[in-house]
Amino acid sequence: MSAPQINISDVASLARLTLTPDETAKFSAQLSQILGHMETLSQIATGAVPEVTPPAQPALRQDIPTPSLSIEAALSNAPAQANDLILVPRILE
Amino acid sequence: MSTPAKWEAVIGLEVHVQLLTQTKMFCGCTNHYGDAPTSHVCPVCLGLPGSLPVPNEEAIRLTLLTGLMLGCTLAPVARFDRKNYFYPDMPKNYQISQYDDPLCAGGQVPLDPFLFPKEIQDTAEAKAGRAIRLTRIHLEEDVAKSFHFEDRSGIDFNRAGTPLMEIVSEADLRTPGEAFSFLGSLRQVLLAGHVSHADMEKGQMRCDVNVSVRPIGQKEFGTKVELKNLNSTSGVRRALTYEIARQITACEKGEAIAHETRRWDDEAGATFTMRTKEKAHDYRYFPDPDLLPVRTDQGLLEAARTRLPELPSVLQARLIQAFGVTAYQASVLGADRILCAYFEKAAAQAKSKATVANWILNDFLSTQPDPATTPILPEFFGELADLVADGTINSAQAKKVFAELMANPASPREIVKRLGLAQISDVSALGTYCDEAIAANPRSVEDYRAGKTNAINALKGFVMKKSQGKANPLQVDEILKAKLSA
Repeated sequence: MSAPQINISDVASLARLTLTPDETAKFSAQLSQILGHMETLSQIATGAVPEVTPPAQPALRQDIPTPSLSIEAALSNAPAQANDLILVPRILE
Repeated sequence: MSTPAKWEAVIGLEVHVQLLTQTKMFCGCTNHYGDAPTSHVCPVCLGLPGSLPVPNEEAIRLTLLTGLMLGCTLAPVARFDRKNYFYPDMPKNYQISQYDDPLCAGGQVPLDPFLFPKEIQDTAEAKAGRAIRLTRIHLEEDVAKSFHFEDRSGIDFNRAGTPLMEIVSEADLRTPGEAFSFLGSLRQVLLAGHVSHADMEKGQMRCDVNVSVRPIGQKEFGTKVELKNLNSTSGVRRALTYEIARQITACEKGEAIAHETRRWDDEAGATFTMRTKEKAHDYRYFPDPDLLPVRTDQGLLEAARTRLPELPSVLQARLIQAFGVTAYQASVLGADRILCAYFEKAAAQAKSKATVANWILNDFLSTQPDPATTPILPEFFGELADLVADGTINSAQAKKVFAELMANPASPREIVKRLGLAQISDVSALGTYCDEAIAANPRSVEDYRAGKTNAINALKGFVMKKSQGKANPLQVDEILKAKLSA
């Protein structure tokens, strides 16, 4: 069975990655192979296997406030800031 | 007869609701607006590496409660997923949301006819009694708030990670008026459950609209347009009215509707293209590996059930049945639970409960009171209504008592004594006044006897003046008529 094709430039643009033609070819082959493994897995008949119910409730949090960072600490790694806001390139609508 | 309209609109809403929790969705930072920027943030809601989210159980309970109130099917197991996209207001580059297994599915919002715009409440559209089906309700985290400057944008992460409930309707709505009522009716339910303040103008409830048009009778949907920047229920209605007309005009000219997002400009009263959707958004949802599935069947659902309030439709039916108020009054009272509790106390012992409703909704409300703090005890309105019902004072005197009640709050019985207002119902005293009136107004007497029945009003006026407004007007009417026809 042939490995499924993946549009690597589409995936790269969604991830904001710029790939060289070499990288594109290399990653296309690698990711197609991974998808091929998934196809193999999906051929296993699981219809009769009951869905696994999570055994227990995961840890949930009570709705009680805990201390936040200080404004100074929160902003300490921001490349640019003004009026206690983190500055970013202008967001265009 | 008007020409039958050839087109109909198909409208679906996505409503985002901020939940009334103390803390954020996945961390213990305070969930509160209006504080100093960047003051409610921590490694989790800033998306710093190595931090792990822990769900807020109260946010889950509030979402389940909403599902119960709206008749949804509640999932025994719910999951959180990552919705991936890049935007500076979302520090992790994904939003934790729910995709395959939301907390609630199905359900409906019954449209309250009195929550349609005022001028169309009497139309068949408002009275149709439709219920709008819901697709689902899921829980996610809100994004940060952005401020736009000339060359940069500034981000305040206080709102990032606060719990946000998304309610998605089916494309069941057909008119801007229905969308208006949907939002109002949904808000009443959310308020009843103390789930949210749900004030659109404060951003506590936000709404995206999908709208298309099609020829009446056609089953297929037209190309839908998404509308954004809708900041009030009336804005939603105006935007829809504009957009539906725009689409119909385009269709009649044979133009294709572009599948796009349009921004409503309330000042311009028009929608403008924001960005053309070249391809469907690819959010690459996948289960969040940081979060295990949540079992709602282990206590959460039970806890939500114990908080079920009296729903707006049930409350309104009870008010009509138990207090004899009109459907409109029931809707007004139902929309304000504090006022409603005030009314119920006022009417509890009163003989004429419907009159108490009139006093509170017409006279008292026009003084813009705060029923939670007013020094005017609700029982006073019951007493005032009783004083009129048992004939102690007439309605004109009751207005005086009301004015005094507002100025110097005291029991209406005391006010009646203080102002010497008690109505004169003594037949012999009233008879004397009536004799004087007849003697002093020979022309009116003549006119009345000649068939001008209105002439009796002059005599009544004389009696009321003589008695300083204290005469029982019904009795005066009877006595005068008896004397004049003698």
